[in-house]
Amino acid sequence: MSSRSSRADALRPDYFINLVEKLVSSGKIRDEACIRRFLSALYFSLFNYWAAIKYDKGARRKGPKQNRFDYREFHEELLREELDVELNLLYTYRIATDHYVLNPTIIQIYNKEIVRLMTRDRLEIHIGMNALRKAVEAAKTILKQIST
Amino acid sequence: MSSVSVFEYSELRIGGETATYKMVVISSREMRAFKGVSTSIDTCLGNVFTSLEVSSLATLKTFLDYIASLSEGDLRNLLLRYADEDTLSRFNEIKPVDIRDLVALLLWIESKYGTYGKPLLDLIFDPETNEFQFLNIVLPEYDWDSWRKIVKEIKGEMKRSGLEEMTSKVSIVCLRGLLEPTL
Repeated sequence: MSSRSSRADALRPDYFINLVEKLVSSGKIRDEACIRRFLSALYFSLFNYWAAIKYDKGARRKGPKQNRFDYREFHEELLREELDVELNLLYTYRIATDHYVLNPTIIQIYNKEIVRLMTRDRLEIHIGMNALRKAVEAAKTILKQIST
Repeated sequence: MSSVSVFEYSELRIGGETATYKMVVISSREMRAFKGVSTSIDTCLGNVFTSLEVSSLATLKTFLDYIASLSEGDLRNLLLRYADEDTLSRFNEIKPVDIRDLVALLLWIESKYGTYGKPLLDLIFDPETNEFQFLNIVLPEYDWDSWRKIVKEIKGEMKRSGLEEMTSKVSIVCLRGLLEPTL
């Protein structure tokens, strides 16, 4: 693909998100490995697309081609747009799926009072179809926001 | 030492109607710390505290005004109400937002949403880069259905109170909402 083409056009994730949604509704996703990869990919498809939009608009960051953007900047833009629900859902589950083996699991939390509450009430991150369904909805909301 | 207390009481009115009142009291030994109307309370230990009564209907701007003259020590003690020593230590290393604004925000959130438990503060770091990402203000007992509404209310109030820049550094998490897909 030519580097002169619009990176945002090339990385727009509409088709990918719709594909995941169809697979979810068709009942064809059968194992945890697939669920984990889709949860992670939903997050990164949006991160890539957001960065591509920035790049096309002239933003330059890190790397030899100045095309490596930070998660933090992405997260700050989503929080400014009040997409706290969608960001937390996608980012928390993306961390759990990419970095933690157990299911259900609890990811790193520094405030011990929160860990105590989660342990007491057995609140854990369950990586399953319900999480993937919500992640698809969250991804569609974020896509709509960053596309405008 | 500083502390925040939330008092709730009900009274039966003529006609059988029950009125419920909620009051947040910020207490400090430093009398100079407070502006506006204050009252003195004798505690059971005999210490005299200066207290400021803040209505649960008070705006975030009101809390920001009250917090403006608190000492660093008072702010630290107030923040320890929402974070443990480890979390506070990490916060002080990074200082992603002004501690005064953060304490005012946490107090206001507690006054408005604290019926089901006080908010808790956490810091989010990316596990790959170890870079700080944002602050989480966790409301432990709120669920998925309330989450978006609460985010809109809190961030709207932050913008109205001059904390627009801070909205990008702070994330509001309803813990049961986040983990609801597990149920």
